[in-house]
Amino acid sequence: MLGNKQTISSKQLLSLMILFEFGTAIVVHIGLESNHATWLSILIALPGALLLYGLYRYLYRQYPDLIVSGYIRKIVGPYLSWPLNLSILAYFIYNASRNLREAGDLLIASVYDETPLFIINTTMALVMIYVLSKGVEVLFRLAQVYILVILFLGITGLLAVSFSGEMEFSNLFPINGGDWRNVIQTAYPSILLFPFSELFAFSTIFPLLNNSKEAGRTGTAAILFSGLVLSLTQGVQLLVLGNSIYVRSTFSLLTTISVINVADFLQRLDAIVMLLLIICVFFKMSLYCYAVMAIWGDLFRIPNTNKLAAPVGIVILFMSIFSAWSFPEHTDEGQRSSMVMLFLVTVAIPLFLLLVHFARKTFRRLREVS
Amino acid sequence: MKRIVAILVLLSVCLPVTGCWNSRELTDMSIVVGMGIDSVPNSNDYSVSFQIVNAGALSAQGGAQVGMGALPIVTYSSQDNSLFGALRKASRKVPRRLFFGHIQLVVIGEEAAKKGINDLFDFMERSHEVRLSSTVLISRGTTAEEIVSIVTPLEKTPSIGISRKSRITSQVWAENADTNVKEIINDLVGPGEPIIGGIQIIGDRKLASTERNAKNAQPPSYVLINGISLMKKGKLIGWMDNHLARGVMWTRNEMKGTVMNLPCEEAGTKDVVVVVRSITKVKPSLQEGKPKFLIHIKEEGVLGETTCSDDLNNRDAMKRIQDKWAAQTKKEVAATITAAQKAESDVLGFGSFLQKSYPKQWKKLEKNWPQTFAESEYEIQVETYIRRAGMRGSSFKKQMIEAEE
Amino acid sequence: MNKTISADRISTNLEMNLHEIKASLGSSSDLVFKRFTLEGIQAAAVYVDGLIDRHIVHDLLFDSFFSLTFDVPSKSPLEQIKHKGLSSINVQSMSTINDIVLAILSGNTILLLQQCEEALSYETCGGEVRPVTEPSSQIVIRGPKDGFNESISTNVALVRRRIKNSNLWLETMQVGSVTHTEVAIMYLNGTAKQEIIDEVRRRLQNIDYESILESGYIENLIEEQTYTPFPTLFNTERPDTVAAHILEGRIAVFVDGTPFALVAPTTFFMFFQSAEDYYHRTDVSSGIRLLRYISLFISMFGPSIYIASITFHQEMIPTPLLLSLASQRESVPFPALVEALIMEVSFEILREAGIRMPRAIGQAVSIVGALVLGQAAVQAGIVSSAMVIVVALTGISSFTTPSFNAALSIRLLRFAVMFCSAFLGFFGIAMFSILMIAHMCGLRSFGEPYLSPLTPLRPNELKDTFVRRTFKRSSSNRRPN
Repeated sequence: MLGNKQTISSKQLLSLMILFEFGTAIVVHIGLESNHATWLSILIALPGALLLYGLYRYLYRQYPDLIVSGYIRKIVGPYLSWPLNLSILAYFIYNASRNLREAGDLLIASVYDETPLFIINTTMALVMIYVLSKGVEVLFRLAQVYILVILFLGITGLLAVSFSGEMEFSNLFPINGGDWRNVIQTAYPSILLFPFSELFAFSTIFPLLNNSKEAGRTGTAAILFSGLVLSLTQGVQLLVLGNSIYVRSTFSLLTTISVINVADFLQRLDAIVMLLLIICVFFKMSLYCYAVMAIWGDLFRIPNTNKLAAPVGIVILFMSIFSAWSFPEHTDEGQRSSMVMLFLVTVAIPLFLLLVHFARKTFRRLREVS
Repeated sequence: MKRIVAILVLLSVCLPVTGCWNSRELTDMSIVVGMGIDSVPNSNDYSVSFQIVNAGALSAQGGAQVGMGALPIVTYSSQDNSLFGALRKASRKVPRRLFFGHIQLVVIGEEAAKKGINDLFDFMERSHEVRLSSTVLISRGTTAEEIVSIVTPLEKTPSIGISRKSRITSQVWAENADTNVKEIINDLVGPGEPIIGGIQIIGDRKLASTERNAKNAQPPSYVLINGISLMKKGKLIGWMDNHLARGVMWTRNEMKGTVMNLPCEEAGTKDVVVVVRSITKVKPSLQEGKPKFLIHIKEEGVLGETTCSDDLNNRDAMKRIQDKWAAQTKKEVAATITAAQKAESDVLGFGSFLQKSYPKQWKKLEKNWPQTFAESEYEIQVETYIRRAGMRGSSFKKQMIEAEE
Repeated sequence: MNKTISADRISTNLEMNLHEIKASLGSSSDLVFKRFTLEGIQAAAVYVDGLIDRHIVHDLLFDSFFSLTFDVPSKSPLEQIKHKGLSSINVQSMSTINDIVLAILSGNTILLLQQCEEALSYETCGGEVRPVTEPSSQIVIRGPKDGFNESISTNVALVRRRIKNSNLWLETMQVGSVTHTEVAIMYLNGTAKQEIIDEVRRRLQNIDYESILESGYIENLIEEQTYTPFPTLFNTERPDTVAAHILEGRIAVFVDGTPFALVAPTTFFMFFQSAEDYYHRTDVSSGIRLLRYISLFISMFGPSIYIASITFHQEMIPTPLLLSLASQRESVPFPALVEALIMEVSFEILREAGIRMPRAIGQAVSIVGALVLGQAAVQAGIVSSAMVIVVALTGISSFTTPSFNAALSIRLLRFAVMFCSAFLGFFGIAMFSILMIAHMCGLRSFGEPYLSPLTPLRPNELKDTFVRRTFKRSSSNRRPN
């Protein structure tokens, strides 16, 4: 009763998954820059996302008590598992630092133009270290509280946009942005990878669930809900801003909200978008940090991973500052090299594991038969 | 361990004292409510002027501190090759730091507009402070700086008053367009042209920015919103005034209300219809590669005034007025389209309709669109409905005539 | 200066015993010795005047002792007295000086006989206590107006009167090595979780402290985490509140000498529920509860949002309002944070002073002080009127919290948030609130997560947290716990 083993309920998992999926995807224009029917691409990417998630869940169900690094060891053996695990570890650290960097840069670009990046990133990193050093259970409880905050902010923003009369439905047409190929190319692989395949990080969380059967339902619900909301958000941005501005904005949701002017009273509700960004990115980053801590703890046999929060957090902080010299460079890197790495880690490796797993199973069966 | 934490906490408390980077006190800011952009003759420089609120003079409380009877606004201007440069250069004159978060009005000088407005808007959309919803107007016959310096009697901050004026008149009289920065950028990128309202100073221009203007029941000068710009590829080539402007509003589905004076059979008498609602749909079609546009306008209105002596209880009388109204609308819209086609300027937004409906063919037509637009055919259909006639049936004039007989 | 009382047994010599008792109390002048003979045997009654109920002792002495006759010579005199005496009083046998002295100090009367190795202790506690009156701190408009007083037996009885159920169990113990304060825990057997009961008992018994003067001491000694601004034990002066919590499966802790009883385990939302919510209609109560949460938000974040908007996010304020604020601030020489701190600190000073002032002047001075100070400060140009309004609204919102100790925590946190907002604007506020809520998520009160039923989510109980749920007509509305 007092200080029990850390378990997570499915509702908490759902909250964190949704917040994780929102991340930075909800405030910027995701997908290829040339596509203005992003909302459609997101919907098209959903089936693929569900499939990928099914893959992660399948791997989890084969080894319900192990996190990723654990079952990699089981599937490919101890020697090959090291490079795989280390690359996953490295990629998670990199991705966490990218998220932190993006959040800091967006805040600076929009409001805090004279504050040094170091200060903003350090603040977020310190809070993250504090939360994670109390245990991952606290993070999930926090997620449950903040999902309500996000829903409230989201509904307020949506109402404000609807009442402002700034939405021009003619901006939706032509629906395909003139180019079906573009729409589908954005969906696969771009949007599939970011943000949906990032759910791979939850492979370090599944063993903590108090009811392992719920993993599938929770994940499906999270993907569908966040996908619909992301699609809606991107659609609204397109309606309000019009094609040209929407596609070229660095922080399109903020630009959208800044146009809202309801009755001359509710003006420039930028703070709503800022809060949205801060909260969603915080949870995404924290989850990645925890994934790193869990894998590290598993690889190097450290029993209490809470103590790893501070070192991992500091590494993420410094990486975020040194990863790119400027924001356009960061975005460019995101389109190219980060996509490739994301593909390798979240799609290639799990598929490879699946194949090896099946191969071993069939060999085992063959051996049993003979 | 606890000591380390304690030391860190103490240190972090000292941080705010060093001067938090982004915090700006209201007393350190000059709130810019209006901005004017002129081009400097014989050079590529811009002359940018700012209308700054004199906060102290606005309140009763702080009035004692600032000079009594000070004007509520102050204008400064500066010149530089780029807009951002001009902004920062103004710091040599302005006592505080300029803050653009509340900018309501942007006025572009006529000369600058003739040179082209394409270059003016990147700054406005890239900056996070400038509002995309600011009203944009082009000055006619004066420089933007003079417009931005005018002092008005009814409104303490003239920029707020002017932007409100622009909005109201576009909704009530509809011979003016109320466009903001966002709409202009979207129009510039698209195949059509932006429509920007014009603004003039009527009266004694020298007294416009003095106190006398604000404290007079009949101010020596005032600001007039007049006309819609005619642009080609972002350069001002002319103006559309009065009914031509109204036609533009109709075609672009921006008509929200206006007044139609429809003459009756008897000379000098007229029926006046107040337009309450108007929806325009433009359907493009391609006939042998040539575009044709079907413009369908459906309007609803109210009879606001009449000096004819018709019997208004008669259904035919209403129908007659409706027909007159439809004919007048059609005439005005046709005149507008003709004028636009003559100037080869697609201010009516036909290009974007074509682009949305025929994306493949559009790619071929895109290049020469201004010429193709000038040669396009069009057809106008107008449906009009008079819903009500106000608080009376027949007019009292009719009763007067009957009494005489 | 603790003299260890001898744990020796009583000797058979009466005078020696009496001498021993007198010596251990340092010949305190309020110790009364009444010597008499009982059928020829030397006897003495010892008590402390002031701790006893004089009527009972009078009856005891005159009706029982002085007129006692021994009927059965075979039984020991003590046994006969024990069985014959006033039957409505609790009687116990004691054999060590230690027990006797403690009993005397608890208000008992001791009967010692010559040649007896045991003494009898009669429970005659009494003395002056404050009558049961309306509680001073948690006032309701509709509802019972009796509040606890300083006597633990009265307090326990007030709760017993409300729950006439045989499962309502009471355990007493003494805490405090010097003060030996009587502490009792009360719970509904079967509804309260056994682990929590055991934990409460264990923690109380493990208290190693000299003096327990108030339940606040106990609260500090048994709570899990002391480095937190949030209280993890709920206290109240009202018997109906305690009864309601006991019925929900919680455990009440009573401490002799204070009218404030403790309730464990506690959740954050308990501090925002008042007993009165259940005495009014559902919709009205729900509205008021929501209002309380809104006031909580205002009192915590009010000045910070104002400071953040004025110094970082001026775009957010509607233009006419901004111009008006700008004109007000023209005459103020301080930055917004300093101005806010000045006003907030003055308000806190006024508030504290208002509590300590004698009641007659208290009301007038605090109202006048607030108004005059505010107005004068504005006219002197030290603060702006908008700041006065913000601070006043914040202060008044903080009074809607029914529970005083939670209000105290929030007052302190408000200053921390103000610093964060002056440092980093809305980002600072957001980060601080994440920090604070994370801290709350990690708190546990006797094993119960501090923020339940919000997280971990228990939808059944959630219905009663933010709004008040209706009374179901059926009798089966027991909460799961």
